[in-house]
Amino acid sequence: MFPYLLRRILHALLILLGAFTFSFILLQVMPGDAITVKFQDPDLGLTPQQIAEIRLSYGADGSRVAQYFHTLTGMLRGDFGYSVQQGVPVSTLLRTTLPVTLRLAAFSFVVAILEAMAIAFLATALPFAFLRRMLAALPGFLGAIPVFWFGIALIQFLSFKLRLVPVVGAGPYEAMILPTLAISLPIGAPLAQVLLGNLDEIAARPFVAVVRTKGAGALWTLFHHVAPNAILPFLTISGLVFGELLAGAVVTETIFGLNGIGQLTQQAVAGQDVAVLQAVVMISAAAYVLINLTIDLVYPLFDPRIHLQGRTMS
Amino acid sequence: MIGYAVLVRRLAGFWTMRGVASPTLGISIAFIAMLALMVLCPALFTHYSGIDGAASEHLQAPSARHLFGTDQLGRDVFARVVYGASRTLSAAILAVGVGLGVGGAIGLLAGAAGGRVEAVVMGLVDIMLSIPELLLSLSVLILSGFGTLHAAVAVGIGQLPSLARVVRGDARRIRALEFVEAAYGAGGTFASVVRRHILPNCLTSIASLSVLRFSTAILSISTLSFLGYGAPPPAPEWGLMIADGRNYLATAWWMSSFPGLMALLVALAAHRISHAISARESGTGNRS
Repeated sequence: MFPYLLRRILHALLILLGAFTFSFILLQVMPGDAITVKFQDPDLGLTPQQIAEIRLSYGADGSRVAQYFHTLTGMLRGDFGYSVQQGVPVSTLLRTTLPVTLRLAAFSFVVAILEAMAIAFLATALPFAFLRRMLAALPGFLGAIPVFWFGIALIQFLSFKLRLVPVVGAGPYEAMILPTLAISLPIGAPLAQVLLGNLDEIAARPFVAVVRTKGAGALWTLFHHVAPNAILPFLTISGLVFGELLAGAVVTETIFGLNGIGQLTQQAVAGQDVAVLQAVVMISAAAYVLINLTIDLVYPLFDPRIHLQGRTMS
Repeated sequence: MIGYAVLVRRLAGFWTMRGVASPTLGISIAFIAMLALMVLCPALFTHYSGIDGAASEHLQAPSARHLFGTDQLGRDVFARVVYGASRTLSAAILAVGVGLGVGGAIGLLAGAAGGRVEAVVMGLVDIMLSIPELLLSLSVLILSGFGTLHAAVAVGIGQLPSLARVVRGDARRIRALEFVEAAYGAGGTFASVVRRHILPNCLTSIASLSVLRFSTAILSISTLSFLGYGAPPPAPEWGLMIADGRNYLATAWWMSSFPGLMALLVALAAHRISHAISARESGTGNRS
């Protein structure tokens, strides 16, 4: 077990270092960096020497290799450099925006899981075949909805027409209702599809037939025998939706005016603020790696078959 | 004679999608065909311009004269949706082309090669996978600058790692089959085996995948132009139209609703067709 654990952690760190290197090469080595964009405007009247001094203060002088290690060690210390556009440390920006996005992501994730379960169980257990078929087709439909359009439609109907949820002057939690709905539907859709597939697959196994032959009802079998076996693998893919959660945050925070990572990202791209974008990329890569590592480590505790595999592999 | 009969049945089977045939599939194919026509000759659908409007007719509700209403500058929303189709759809095709051309090729070669090459290449792909698709696209866009073309390439690069992953899985499965070993045994080189045995056997799943990715590419491209990184303002582009309509939500719901509905319908239709292709391949029925 221990070497397995160690190897997983090592692998996770390697991926993170790789992601950093990749984003560094992509964002920093390419020509046309943010400092040039912001300060080379002739109207500012800066001499090349002054620009060089600015570069120095941003840590953007020296060779590429020196910059690479400068940025890497900085990030390890929680120092993500300066936002060239806003003139403040990126870590300051992150401190105010991260909690908003984390709250939004957590809400949306929970709601998405609930939606997925509701759709999958109803599509399995409802009495009429046509109802089941309609529900089974629902995830494909939900997955095709453009998040930004859906968010706008929500504002239009729930807020302007029906006046159920305020968008202007809403409290911190009230303000989360519509964005959560907007993100969770398209994310819940693929999850529902996976869970539905799992339920079908488990229901076709011989042991389910045995349980049924012994006289158990369809619903009892579903909830006591099929569901427990189907939900575990379903939860493990939850890590994969993280990226979509973040993508959804970029769009919905822009629509709903939430001051989170998503809006920060949107502004960073518009203003070619590379340091901010790289910080966001690294945070999301770290979250992705961490979620997957946790799943890898926790899964054997629940599923003895995986545990054995881990042993034999190590 | 028998071979001929089988061929005819196969062809007939493709058109009726035997085993998976359904009204929704027919509607999906008809819808995509109509869109293709929209892209090729938009003037067939509307006599209004997609760019110029009559200021006197601004913000009119949908009517017989203006099917989808008009926007704040008096431009016909239906005409803009029609002219926008070519921009949005060709961008999506370019995106899938880039993603599949580069990502698919990487996956195919890695999966077919196996061993250390596969391990190293897929390690790099895993690293790219740890960055969410949208952020990958944005990282490209922040450097390349904005515009439809750049947005399309950025979406393609965003899709690249996951496409490489899927195609590699197929190539790997086929590499393990006996006839591939036999082909090598018969003196086949790596290139010839990939070209004549591995690639042809991946084609159906690649076709299904590319149609599916086409639908996600449409959503991603309109997302990027919604955020303001795609087509510049006067151009008719669905994402941009939705963004424009945002300021008129309370008074002119039609401005953002119709382009959004179009994006939704295209994505749905493409999803349905992709499903039919893969269901035919695996020989199983499907749910939706």
